[in-house]
Amino acid sequence: MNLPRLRPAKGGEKVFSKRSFPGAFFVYGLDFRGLCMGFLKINGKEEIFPDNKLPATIADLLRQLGVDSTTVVAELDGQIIERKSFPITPLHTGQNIELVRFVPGG
Amino acid sequence: MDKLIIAGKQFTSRLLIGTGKFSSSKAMAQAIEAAGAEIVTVALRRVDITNKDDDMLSAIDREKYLLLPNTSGARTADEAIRLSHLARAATGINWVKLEVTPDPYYLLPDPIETLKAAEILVKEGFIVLPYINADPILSRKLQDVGTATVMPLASPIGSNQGLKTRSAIEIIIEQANVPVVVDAGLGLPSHAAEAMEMGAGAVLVNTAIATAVEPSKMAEAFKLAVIAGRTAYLSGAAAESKKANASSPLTGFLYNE
Repeated sequence: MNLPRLRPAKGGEKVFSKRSFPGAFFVYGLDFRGLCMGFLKINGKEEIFPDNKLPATIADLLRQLGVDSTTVVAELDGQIIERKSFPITPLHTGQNIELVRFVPGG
Repeated sequence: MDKLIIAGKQFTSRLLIGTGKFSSSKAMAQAIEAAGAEIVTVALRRVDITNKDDDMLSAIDREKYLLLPNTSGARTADEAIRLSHLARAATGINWVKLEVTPDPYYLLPDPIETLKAAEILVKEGFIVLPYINADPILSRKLQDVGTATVMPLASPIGSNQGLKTRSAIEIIIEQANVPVVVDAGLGLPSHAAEAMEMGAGAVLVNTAIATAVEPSKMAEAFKLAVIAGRTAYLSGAAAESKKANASSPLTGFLYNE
């Protein structure tokens, strides 16, 4: 594995925009800021939640994203989560969540 | 007109409508209404988290219409099964239009993966309506594993070519003990009428209505064509012959001696 070359961030530069290798967040987070970073893979794309602001539940995530939960189905790490369980399903860093809904189709 | 019965559920309309490609949710809702449809198909996709207003289907009254989710986008049986589970979680019902189309150019269904997925989904309690090529043997195998219908294509999806698979669909209808829903490629009301005259249980139309200049008028035309076709089928068509058979009496001509 090639370790990335570390250099100090310039002013305003987003250091944590991308993971360059698995676990990179933790290395960066601890080395640079002493922060605990959280991330979720949402619909195939990694979303980073700095400063421990990972939404506590699926319902919180949808609220944060501004998505109407009444039409959404969620799959968390391959398991379908019933809509009624959104408020009681906790999220943990590194989880893979798919949010789907019906769209027009033939 | 007699009722269409799918998996024990009765329907008055024999025209199923797809909801894709409409210019607006209003145009879609009006067309569904004008078609007199009771079953409307929808697809399942990732939520666009950058566009919060992407819920076009809020215009559909779910009390009035049976939402039939399809598994479009699935390339394998496993993907179709995963989509079916998600669809069931979204609708709360277990009806699914099974589509496995690995080929993006012609969108032709994969018969082996479709049969495999159908068998598993039926065992799991799904009401499965499989989209298939017009293959009589596959149709029989699907109804043997317990699908609620078979849905042979008339021609490739969205092509508006009409009943290119007519002779195969005739065999499918002859052998079927579940409703045969002719799906895909019906471009004109006359195509739909032709399928119904042959004894199809229903037709599914999307592109021909959604992309017409006036979708709701076209929806009404399809509705009338389906009624005409079904009524003709029930009436018992007169025989075809090579030579003319006079409609007027061949006696009592004025010029006879």
